[in-house]
Amino acid sequence: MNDLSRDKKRLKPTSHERKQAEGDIKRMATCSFLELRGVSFAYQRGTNALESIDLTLPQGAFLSIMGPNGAGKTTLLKILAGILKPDGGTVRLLGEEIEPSFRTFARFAYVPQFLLFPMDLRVIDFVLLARTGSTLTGQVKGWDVKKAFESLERVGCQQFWNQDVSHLSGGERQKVFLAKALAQDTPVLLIDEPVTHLDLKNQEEILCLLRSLVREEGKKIVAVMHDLNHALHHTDTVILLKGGKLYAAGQSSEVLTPTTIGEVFGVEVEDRDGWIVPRFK
Amino acid sequence: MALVSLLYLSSGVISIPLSEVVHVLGRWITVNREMGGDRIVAQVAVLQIRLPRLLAALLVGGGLAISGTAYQGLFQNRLADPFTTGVSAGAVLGCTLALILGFSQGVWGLGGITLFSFGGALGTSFIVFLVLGVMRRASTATILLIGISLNFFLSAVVSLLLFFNRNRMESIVLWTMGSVATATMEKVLFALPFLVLGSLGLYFSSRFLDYLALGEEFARAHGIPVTKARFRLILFASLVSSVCVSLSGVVGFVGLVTPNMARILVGTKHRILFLYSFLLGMLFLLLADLLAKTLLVPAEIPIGILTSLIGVPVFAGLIWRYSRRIY
Repeated sequence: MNDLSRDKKRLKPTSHERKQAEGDIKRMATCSFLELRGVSFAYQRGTNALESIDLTLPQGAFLSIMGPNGAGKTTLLKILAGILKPDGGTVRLLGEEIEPSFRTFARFAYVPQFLLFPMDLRVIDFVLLARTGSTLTGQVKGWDVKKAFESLERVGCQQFWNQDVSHLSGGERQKVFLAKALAQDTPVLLIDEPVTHLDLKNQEEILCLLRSLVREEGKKIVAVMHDLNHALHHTDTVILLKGGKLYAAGQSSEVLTPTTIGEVFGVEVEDRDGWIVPRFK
Repeated sequence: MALVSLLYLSSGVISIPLSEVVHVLGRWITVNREMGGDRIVAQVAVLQIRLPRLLAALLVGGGLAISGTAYQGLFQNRLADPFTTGVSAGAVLGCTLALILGFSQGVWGLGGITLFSFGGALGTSFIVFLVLGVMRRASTATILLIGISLNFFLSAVVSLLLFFNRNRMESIVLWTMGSVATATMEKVLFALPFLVLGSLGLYFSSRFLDYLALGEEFARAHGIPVTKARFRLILFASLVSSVCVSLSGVVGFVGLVTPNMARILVGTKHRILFLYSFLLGMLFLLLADLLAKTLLVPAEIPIGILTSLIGVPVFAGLIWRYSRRIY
């Protein structure tokens, strides 16, 4: 409880941390964004959630994973986050092979779609969880608290720091999730359905925030998305999955055409001035 | 707490003035143990009967409270308690076996019952581990179910044994009510290293609990080795609760109520939560035992009864408090 006031030590990142961040940036410039080699995963024997996916995306900063329900979008994201271990194949994100370990956590921040919060968990304590993964008993330092408040401010939620997370609205909660991911200070954010279930205003706010993170801070984002227009207008690269298999991947504007969308989702759509609209009969 | 402890030492069948208690303790600490004949009663009462009992109450209270905290965090369920994994049922089985097989004599000044119940509790934990080892990807709900089923199974075995040995029934039932009255210095010293080891183990795993409390996936995404962490937490929590059960029998509610009280007081950070629930647990059991031995002098109420009698209203208050909040 008194962690915030008591720890005044270390208000700057260590030289090791700075070097690590510089190394990250260098590597990001030279390696291809995402490489999947024969990645497959099955929750149960016999039913593959993902079937030998091969894919190389040389470039990209804001990638969306799209597809119908049950296509394996979230599964792929969880594999990228190191939560699930693929049954076969290798995954490389920014040149680093993903395996479930502490290193993955230090480089890729995962934002879940939903969490069951324990009671009485304050926003600031939740955000601080981003900083304490490597400590022995979960103690925080002054620098960690500073970083946590900075990220809350970045998403515009600093006024909620002392509130119970479970009392926040859906939009606020999503922003707090993002703040936690930002506090992790990783070059890549992996986000599961950032704007699903949110109202129009919150959708806009969060998408703008994500875009500014990409543009101004050079972060890379991989997000599972449902809204075709969001993907078309906000993200630069798309992976389209269907039934656990890769259907298409590439530039958003090239992949998301009425033809491919019709084939993947089984719905007739048309392009109206750059907006994808279902064709009503 | 020091005050309550002194009060505890002074009260009982023979009431000893506080000054006398302080005097005896002072002598004991300075290893000057020769005392006048008029003080021998006080000395015996305080040092040989009440001090071990006090220490046992403190250890059991604190131990049950921290293992309760660990289980509640681990199972993401505020209703979990130290006996969720069947530890108490295992201990009762051990105690029953000791009584039926006639192992009332023990070694190192420890009763057979203590050793057997400790063995029973540890054995049960070991079975849980075996199951965990086989099912490496078991979810917390599965572990909880395994523990509860094991509890029922072992209770059934105890009932069966009792059914064939009705003459021993009374002593076993009395033991399951829990009491620290039979504590001796030997028992306390036997329990202490295990308790310290388990408590330190839990304290240094507290960061795991912070993440596991938000779910397995969340923990995995933060680089927590979930299977290993769970294994470690159950190991230490079982160790602590086994020792507590062997020291005092089944004392209910401390492990359930005190972690919840601590949570309300200090929030969800397990590092701090452990410290507070340890202290609260000590205080809770101390007060309960103080009441147990003073309410009906010279008779004593088994402490398990009192903890539940105090625990239930507190718990009802908790539920009332939370029912008004929306989750």
